[in-house]
Amino acid sequence: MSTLNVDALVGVSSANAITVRGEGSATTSLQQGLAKAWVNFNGTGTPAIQDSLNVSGITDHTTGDYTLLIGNDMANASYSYQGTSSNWETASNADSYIGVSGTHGGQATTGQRIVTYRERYDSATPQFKDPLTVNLTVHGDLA
Amino acid sequence: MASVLKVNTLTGVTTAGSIAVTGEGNSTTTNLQQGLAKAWVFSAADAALTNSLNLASGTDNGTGNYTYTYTSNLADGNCAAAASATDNTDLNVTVYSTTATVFTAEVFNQAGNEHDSRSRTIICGDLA
Repeated sequence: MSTLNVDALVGVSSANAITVRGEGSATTSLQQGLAKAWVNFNGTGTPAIQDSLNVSGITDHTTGDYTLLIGNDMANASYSYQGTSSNWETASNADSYIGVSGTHGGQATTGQRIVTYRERYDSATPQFKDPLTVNLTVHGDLA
Repeated sequence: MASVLKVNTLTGVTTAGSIAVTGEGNSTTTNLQQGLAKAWVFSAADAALTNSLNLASGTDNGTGNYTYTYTSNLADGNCAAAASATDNTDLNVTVYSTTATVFTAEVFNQAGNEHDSRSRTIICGDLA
């Protein structure tokens, strides 16, 4: 077994480009494959970050309306992000869930504005809600 | 003093596609290759690839239905996919079909109707 002890990895030809041999024979990019930011936060009351990477804070605009603030900015606003959330109900409810959506025009190199909304497939129209847990991940290019 | 490794390519010695990395807790290890996203995309509402990793093209199959083709194929269709929509507050995305060469996503609203929208998807799994 070969073990390499190192604190930082930098590309030689290009500082920002390191190729990694994949599980089979193909290769992939180390930098492009890494998540550039992620966060788990409590959305009730004042948003409280439970754990995160490269997140400087969460702005609470109003009920079910937040902006993820990225610590080290992205190179452009065309990054990929995904979000999930805990259910609004405190007990299991098969007809009610919380959806996470980005807002139109809410994406910037410094962060992403999102909304969290309660979906009631049994009856009610959507309602903005502050969920107990909101999870977001960001993949793309760092500045 | 920090140690900096300058390198263009990382390949496992015992197994080319397997490199262990010590985790944040300094005890357990994780797998570098398995932890990397193998594809991600910020897609326009017509399936154009605004920004992406390891995707050759997007195809607009009809309202709210999109297929994306990998540049480097996955080993199989047993990957993990997560996706979000952008342009409305009641849109969801499901990645309902994954193969070694493509994945297909559908954007829909709460009424269950397909809807054209920008979307974002991440794929984790094994490269071929």
